[in-house]
Amino acid sequence: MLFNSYEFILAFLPITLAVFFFVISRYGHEPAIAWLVSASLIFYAWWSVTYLALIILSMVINYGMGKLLARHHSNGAVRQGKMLLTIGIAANLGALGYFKYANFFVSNFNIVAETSFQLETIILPLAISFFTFQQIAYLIDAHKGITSEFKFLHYALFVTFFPQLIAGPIVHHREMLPQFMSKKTLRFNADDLSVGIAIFSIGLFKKVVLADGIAVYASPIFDAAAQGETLTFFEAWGGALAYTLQLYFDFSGYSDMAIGAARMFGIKLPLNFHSPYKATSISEFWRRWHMTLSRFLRDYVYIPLGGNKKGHYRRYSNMMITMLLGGLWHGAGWTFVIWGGLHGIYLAVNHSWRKIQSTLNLTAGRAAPFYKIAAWGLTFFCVVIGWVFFRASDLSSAIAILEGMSGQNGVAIPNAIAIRTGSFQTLLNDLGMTFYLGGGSQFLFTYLWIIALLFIALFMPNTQEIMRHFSPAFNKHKSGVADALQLTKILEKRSIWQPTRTWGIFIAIISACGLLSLSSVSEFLYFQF
Amino acid sequence: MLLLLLITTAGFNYLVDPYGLFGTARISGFNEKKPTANTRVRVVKPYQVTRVQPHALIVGNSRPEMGLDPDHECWPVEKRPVYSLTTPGASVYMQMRQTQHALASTPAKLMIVGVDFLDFLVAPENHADPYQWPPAVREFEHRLSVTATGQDNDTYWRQSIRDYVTTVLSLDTLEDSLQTIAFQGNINASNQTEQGFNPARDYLDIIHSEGQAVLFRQKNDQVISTLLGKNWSIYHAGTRWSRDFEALKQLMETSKKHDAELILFINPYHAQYLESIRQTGKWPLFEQWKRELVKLTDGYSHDVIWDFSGYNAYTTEAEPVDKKPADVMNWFWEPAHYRKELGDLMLNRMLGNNCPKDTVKPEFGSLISVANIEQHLTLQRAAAQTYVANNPQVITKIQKRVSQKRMDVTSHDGIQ
Repeated sequence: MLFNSYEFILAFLPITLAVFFFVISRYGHEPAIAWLVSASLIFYAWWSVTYLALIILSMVINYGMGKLLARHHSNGAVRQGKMLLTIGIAANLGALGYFKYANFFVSNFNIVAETSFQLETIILPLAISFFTFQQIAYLIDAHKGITSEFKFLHYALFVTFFPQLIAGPIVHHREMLPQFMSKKTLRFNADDLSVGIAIFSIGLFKKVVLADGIAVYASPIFDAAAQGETLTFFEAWGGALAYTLQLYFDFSGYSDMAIGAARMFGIKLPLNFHSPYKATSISEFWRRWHMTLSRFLRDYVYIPLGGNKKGHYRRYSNMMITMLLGGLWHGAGWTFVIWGGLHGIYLAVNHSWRKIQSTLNLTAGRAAPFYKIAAWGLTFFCVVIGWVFFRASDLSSAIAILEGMSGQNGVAIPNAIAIRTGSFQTLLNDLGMTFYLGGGSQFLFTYLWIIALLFIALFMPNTQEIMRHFSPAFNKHKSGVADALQLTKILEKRSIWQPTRTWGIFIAIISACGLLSLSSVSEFLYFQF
Repeated sequence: MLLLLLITTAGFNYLVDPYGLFGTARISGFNEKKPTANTRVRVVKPYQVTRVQPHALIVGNSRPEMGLDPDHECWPVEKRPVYSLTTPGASVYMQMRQTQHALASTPAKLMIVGVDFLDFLVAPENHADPYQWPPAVREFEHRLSVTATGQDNDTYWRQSIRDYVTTVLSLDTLEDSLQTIAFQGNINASNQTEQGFNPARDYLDIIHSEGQAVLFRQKNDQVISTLLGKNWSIYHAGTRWSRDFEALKQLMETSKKHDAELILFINPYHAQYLESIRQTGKWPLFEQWKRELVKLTDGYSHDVIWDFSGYNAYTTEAEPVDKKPADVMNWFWEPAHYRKELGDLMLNRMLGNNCPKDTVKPEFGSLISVANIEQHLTLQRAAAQTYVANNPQVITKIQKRVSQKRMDVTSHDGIQ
């Protein structure tokens, strides 16, 4: 069941909420949790009954292992604990690897070894990338003794809780389980419900109006590249920028909907996005983009590898390994590996530059407007280049798009637009621009959408800034003046959500827009990962 | 509040009815023209035809949609209203399926069906299973009242409720409703009439700003790339079968089953289109297609086909060079699409009887059948030679485009 479907919004969510509130007031806490777990399993089974067994099995095994690990820890049986942990992680990664990477591995092995092994196409169980990570974190922490004793039902809800089940935010047991156990959070609360509805509505609007609206200008360009067509400058940039914005509004809209839906039950999920395109450096970008994945990679890959504690060389190589794995996590393909590698390089360059700056005592200038704008431009450019690899169906189409963006296939605009520039047309012609027939409105709307959505991404406050008086998420994002563009100052005061009539009308309008756009159903981009 | 907004939107969309789905009254200056309806004909027309309950149908792709007027004076009174069940880009199969639906759910007893050369071309590497009949059910078929084998379609009601609800409860529709109101003042706004006709006046806007020569160049290029794009044939290798011919046969069977009179015609093409067929080496295929058509109709009660695809004063009309608003051609929008003015002459010819005939030049439209096909093709070949001899400039122009496209095609192959 998609969040952006009639079934979810008009049936599943209201029914689940109503039953939940009824059960909790009549029968108490534990039965209500049991209801939430069953509702979440129904939610998952709606897509694929076949893999329902897989997620239940994974949950039971991991819970059992967690218990054992915690016991080993309290008994001081370090060696047994370590062994068990290794087995646990290997089993989780093994399952993920089989479902996600087996085909990729076999086909690459075939190329290298010139063999022709055949594997039946394995269908990726939905959400496996997400619930595998959450449970690995749980096992590691159980081994360290950080986890306390939990009931199975609570653990089951931590894994399956439907708002975050399919595509995150990747929640951590430390922030979820205490909430499930507390009678103060999990209950009916009018404030939580209205805050939840407001956040959910904003997310729905971002997904179905904004992301789906611009998607039609991104996909044809990437499809054309995959077909081997040559793309000119404006076409290629139009496609790359449209995708850049589509992905952001799609995934952050999804995350808002997850946070909003959870909040209706009184549960706060961790923040996943904080205006990433406002970042003025790559490291800040990663603190604002898919924040729960960055956090997981930092805590469970980068730091265990040694982080920045083992000298410069190790630091950079750790960064690189982390980003490559992060890339591969998104999918079994070389384009994702390149994307991850690219960001690894970006981060290394970013950190070296920081070091040069502090050695030369230049850090004071980092907050200067001119420096910030230049830094933003470079960061955004690098991110867009990365997304080309991320989106392209294969390496050669990514290269085709980049060739177009570099201008080496020429610069062309539609004839219909050239004619309307009047006497400038000859000037454009002298500058080497060519004119093609047809596609005038396509061109115009691509760039109008890009300008509009870029404005929203850069100038408007984000969901949690709008909701900031109501602690919208489990955590807050903190950053310095130099870290991001701050163009929202003027809008900030007026943009704080309050339970007033004006805001009620505003939320009603955007949710109406959202509901009215459900007729053309489209999946969330992150479901494939 | 939210409910109020949703109801208001739905009510407004229903009143404006931007796609003509509901048949809400068309009020001049408010919603008479439907400038955004052309994007939704695939959804709307199956419902519209059952609402209009026509006594005659026009069937085909975008050419008859823009060319043949359901309000033309020659339609016999007892055959009115006439509905144009035509869809841009519709395959022969889609046309056949829509005809099945219309004949099952309306009193229509006369059909004029336009066939198009390009619709019948099959590539050797075509679909996974080209011989399957009927083909796997496509999305558009859910909104047809009968299945390909003539049974009642179970999904029809569910689909129609879904289409009605999602059309009124939609932000896209709201946007199009507003656009509909805004564009009423524009005399060249694109439109779809209640009878499924597309007057195609939006071409005039392009012609006025960019000139008709641009339209010609663009369409010629498209046609040439399509023709050169694949190793086309009429039937699948080693057979005398293609899905499109099978669909046409089924269409004729359907009309027989419903006792509906069927008039088949080949669309007129501008001479430059014919020249593109000739220079890309597809002329023999074009002739073979006509031979197979007459073989197919042979044995049916109405065993003749109107062929308008020849050379005559209309189809050889010169293309304007200058881009002056006054320079608009009389008979064609571009090489592939004829204007209503030419369509009127075609209806004069085909509907006969109480129709003034002396307005049409006699060489426009010939009746072909197995009896006279070879003689007809010989005459056409000669006419082509005459055109080539008299229009050296056009010939060189097409030659250039063809060799340019050939280069594109081969260099593209090189990459792959």
